[in-house]
Order: sequence, then structure tokens, then C-alpha cells
Amino acid sequence: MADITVGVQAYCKLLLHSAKYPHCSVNGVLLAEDTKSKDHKAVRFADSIPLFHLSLGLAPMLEIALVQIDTYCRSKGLVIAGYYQANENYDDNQLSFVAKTVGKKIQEYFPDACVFQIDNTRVNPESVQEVYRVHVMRDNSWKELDRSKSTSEEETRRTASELLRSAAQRKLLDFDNHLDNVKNDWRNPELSELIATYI
Amino acid sequence: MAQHVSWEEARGILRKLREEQVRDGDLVVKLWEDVLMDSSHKLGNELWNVYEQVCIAALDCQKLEIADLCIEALEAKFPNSVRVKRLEGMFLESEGSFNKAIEIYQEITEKDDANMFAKKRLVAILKAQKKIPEAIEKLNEYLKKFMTDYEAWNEMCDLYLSIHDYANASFCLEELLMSNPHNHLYHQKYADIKYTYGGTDNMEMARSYYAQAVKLSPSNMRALYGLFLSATNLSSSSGKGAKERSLNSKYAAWAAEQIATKYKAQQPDQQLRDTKVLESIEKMLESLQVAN
Repeated sequence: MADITVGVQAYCKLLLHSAKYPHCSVNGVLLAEDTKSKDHKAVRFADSIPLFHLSLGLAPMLEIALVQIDTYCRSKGLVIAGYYQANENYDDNQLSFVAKTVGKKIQEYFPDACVFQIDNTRVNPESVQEVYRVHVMRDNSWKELDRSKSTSEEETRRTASELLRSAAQRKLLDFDNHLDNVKNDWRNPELSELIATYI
Repeated sequence: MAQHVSWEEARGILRKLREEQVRDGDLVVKLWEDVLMDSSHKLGNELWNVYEQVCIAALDCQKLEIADLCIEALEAKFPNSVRVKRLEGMFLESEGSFNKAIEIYQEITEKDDANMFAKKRLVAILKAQKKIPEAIEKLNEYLKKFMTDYEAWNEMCDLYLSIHDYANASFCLEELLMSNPHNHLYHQKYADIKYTYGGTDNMEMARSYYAQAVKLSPSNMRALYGLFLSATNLSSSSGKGAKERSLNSKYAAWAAEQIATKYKAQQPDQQLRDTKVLESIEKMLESLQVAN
């Protein structure tokens, strides 16, 4: 089973997305480098794309988002390799039906795909470590991955903490924002630059 | 940010948030703490609306001391007020003292059976406790009495969606559509539900409602995408004759054109090129042609 690393861009964006809409469930996908090698030893999540905070359970916009992001990925040597979700209820850490279904879809194309269940209680500047639980597909169901197999750097967590403190979540744009106004860029280029300045 | 705002601007922002019913607890609390608290005497009678707004915002941000101060001020001005009592109930909820909160709401409804707020808070408590079937039952009871409460129908729809009961979720939206036939957002959400439900009949319904949403609001991007997707699906559906399939291809192509035009008009070139939006639409259109 592959070891997981979550890069600073991916980590910060999924955290900021949860922080931006604390009263909603939110979801998004994580992108990994598309290594053509057969080496399944490690998966590095380089970036994440925040998707929705409204009606997560409805199919059509999800389909559109996945096609668009997939086309984008192919042009950048990336692949959709993960899915994250934060539930509406504060202490609900169960994988929802949507999470399992979308996760499965992603896993069909990327066998080492992961589903990140965000722990709402840890979305604050003081406790950004262990902000999610990683699940992987085993024997046709999602099982929680051992914590030792998933890492993120100390610097990543520090950056995330700083960003939360400075309310950077207001700058984040998700796919729902994009559908409201297509000028809103779901790649979040400005936010990515801001994140890069912290490292 | 809030420090650079004058008290009049702050007051204006809070008014707008109240009117549009935007839920942004963090902003409200910051504006209160940094700006309005010291100028509260200038607000006149609006102060009481502001106290209520700040109280609820503070509860959202778990700033219970601020919420407490607001409730005290409101109690002093309006002793024995049911509206203030509701805030006390919400305070208890945010502490997690659900049983005490339920007592308060039940007291309110005993005295006044028509109090919508208290009844809805009882549903909210069930939702917070993850008792979804009970929440649905209670909301059903509520809606039998208060059938024009759009907020409640919307919430009911979302509760049904959370347990994948698309049939009942559709029913809720139908109630909303009947009373708001010109609201393009309801048409679009209804179509979204039908699409998700699946099956040829539902797909056709979805396409019709997306089309209506587009007619009512040509800039509703979700409706345009929905029209594109549903028509695309129908154009390759084995349950349809050649003529219908070809018609659906035309609808899909039309929708794709509308979408592309909007993107080209509104997105900067660089973004358009980089995100490959037009290519992704092309790709979906091509699969259409292959199917036909």
C-alpha cells in the first residue's frame, strides 16, 4: 500500500475550504502527479480543487466539474487521485454515501485513490495537525489508513495555521463560486501564490 | 479589516446581511467588536435588531460571552419577550444543552401554538443530534400547519436528499415551484434532483425544467450545463427513437454554444486557455457525435 504525502497547496486549500463554509458540508478533489511508473510506493498530492458547498448529493454539477478538472489535469501532467469532504454536522466523521461513491469513481481510474474525511473539530489555527482521516479502498470498502502512512510537513501545517489566522479562507473560490460567476477561477491562482510565499 | 470601516458603513453592512439573510457570523462579530460596540448609542432603535443579529452570529462563532451580553441587553429592554426567549434557547443549544433548550421551546409553543421559530428550532435540535428521520417527521408535522413556509420546504428537501429519498425531495420542490413558478433556481434544483434520480423519464423531466430555468434566467450557468448534460444523455439513450435522439443532440449542441459564448465573454483569455474549459465541452460534444 502506498505511502501518502500531502503537499502544502493541497493541504491548505482543503482546510481553507472547510473554514470558509463552517455551516455547510464541503467537498473537493485532490490532484497527484501522474507518474507513469509502476512504482506504487508513494502518492504525492500536489494540489486540491475545492468543489461544492451546496447540494453535495446532486449529480449533474459534479459530473461537469470532474470532466473540466480532468481535462485540465491531463494538460498539466496531473491526475485526480483523491476526494475530501467535511460533513455539515460538527462531530460527524462518517464517510457519507456521496464520499464513498465519488471516491469509488476516482479509484476506478487511480487505484491508489484516497478519501479524506475532514475532522471539523480540528479546523482551527491551534490544531491543524491530523485535520483529516485518510481512507483507502480495500476488499471493496473504504478502510481508514494507518496514520503513520500519511504525512505532511511541519512547514505545511505551520503555513495552514497562519493562513487560518489571517482569514485567508475568504479568498478561496470553489466550483460553486465558479458556477455563480465563471470569472471565479477554481484553480485559485492568487491563493496558490500566497501559499507559496509562506514556505 | 473591520478597523478601517466607519460606524455608518458597518451599520450598512449589517443591514445588508440581515436583508439578504447571509450567514457570516465571523464578519458580523468582527464589525460589532471592532466598530459598532463603541458607537452603539448612535444606532437608535436599530440597536435591538443589531443585538439580535450579533447574538446569533456570536453563537455561530462560539463566542458565548458576546451572545450573553446581547441577550442581557435585550432582556432588559424587552422583559418577557418570546423573541428573546428564543435566543436563550439557541444559547443553550450552542452549549450543547439540548434538553434545556427543548424545555424552553416547548414552553413557548405551549403559550403560543403559532410560534414558527420555536417549532423549527426543535427540528434543528434533532438535526444537530443526527436524528434525521425524527427531524423529517417533526418538520412534516410543522409543514401541515405552516404550508407556505418556503424556508421549511427547502430544509425538508435537503433533509430528504441527505437520505437519498429523491421522490420526497422532488415533492418538496414541487410545493416550492407551485408557489414560486418564476423562480429559476427552483426549476434548476428540481431538474438537478430528477437528473440524479435517473432513468429516461426523469432525464426528460430534468431537461424540460433546465430549459425552463434557462428561459427564466439565461445566465444561470448550472441550468445551461444541466440542459447540456441531460440532452446529451437522452441523445444516446437506447429507449429513444432516432428522431428524438437527434433532437436532443441539437439541444445539447445549442446549450454547449451558449456555455462557450458566456465563457469567452466573461473569462480572461489566459484562464480560458489554461483551464481548458472549451476543450472539455468539445470532448463531451464529440462523444455525442460518436453515439449518433
